[in-house]
Amino acid sequence: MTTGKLVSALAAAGALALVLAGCGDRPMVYKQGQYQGKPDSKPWANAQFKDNQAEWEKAVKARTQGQDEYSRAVASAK
Amino acid sequence: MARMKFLCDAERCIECNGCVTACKNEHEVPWGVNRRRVVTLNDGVPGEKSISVACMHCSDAPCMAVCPVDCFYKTSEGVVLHDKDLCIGCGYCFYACPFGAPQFPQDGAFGLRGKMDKCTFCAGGPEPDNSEAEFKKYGRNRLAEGKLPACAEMCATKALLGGDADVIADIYRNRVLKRGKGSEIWGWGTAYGKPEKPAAQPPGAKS
Repeated sequence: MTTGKLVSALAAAGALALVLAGCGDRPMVYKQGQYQGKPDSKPWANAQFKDNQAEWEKAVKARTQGQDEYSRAVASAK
Repeated sequence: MARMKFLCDAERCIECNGCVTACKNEHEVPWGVNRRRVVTLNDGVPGEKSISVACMHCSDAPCMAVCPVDCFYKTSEGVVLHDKDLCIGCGYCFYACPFGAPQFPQDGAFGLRGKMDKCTFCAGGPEPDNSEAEFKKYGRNRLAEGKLPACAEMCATKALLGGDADVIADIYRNRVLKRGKGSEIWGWGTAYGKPEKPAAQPPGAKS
């Protein structure tokens, strides 16, 4: 392989890597210091849930299921 | 970790604007600002469809991408929130948003555009949870109370669902499978049920 071909092959590989890098999915979840504003607390970091994430998720899940009248109808029929 | 989303069922929405009213009342949203609204397609034409629209808390939110002061953030629950202390009211987010979610209070002279206001998924903002400052700037923080957005929970026909995307998608899928399609969705049989036995006849009457 001539030097010219080698350079062009390397350039093509570099360009391909650069283009594919744009296909990545950048996580947009807030982390302290990653945006300019004030920090926010977690919804379970309060007196009601006492930093218990599992308890908060359980409460929200129960509320979410409460929107399903099919399962509510079955539960009330029992 | 939950990924909070809204889902509106156009087959169920009856354009009652209960979600809009619930949101306004819950957060004491000022005049001229509508965090949520009901959009009707083919209004007045038989077969019209309505959907309730607010911030969809996009996974890759364009408002976050265009904000020149970087005042948006996304919580670990997938809720897109912003810091009003940083917002300069430029309106870029409004142009970027495909749903028209960002709202701007205009209560001053010369068409003054205030700081942006939008649906918070009832999750408040970057102030201490359920504090007076948080309520004043962002409205009530129901999520920190283990509750879901008021609009979804108040919806009379349960057209508007809110919560973990996977869970509400399951609810919607189950609903679609059970209700069928076309005339099976709504009609006499759905509203009043199918007659289990024929109606009683007066004695001596010919059937």
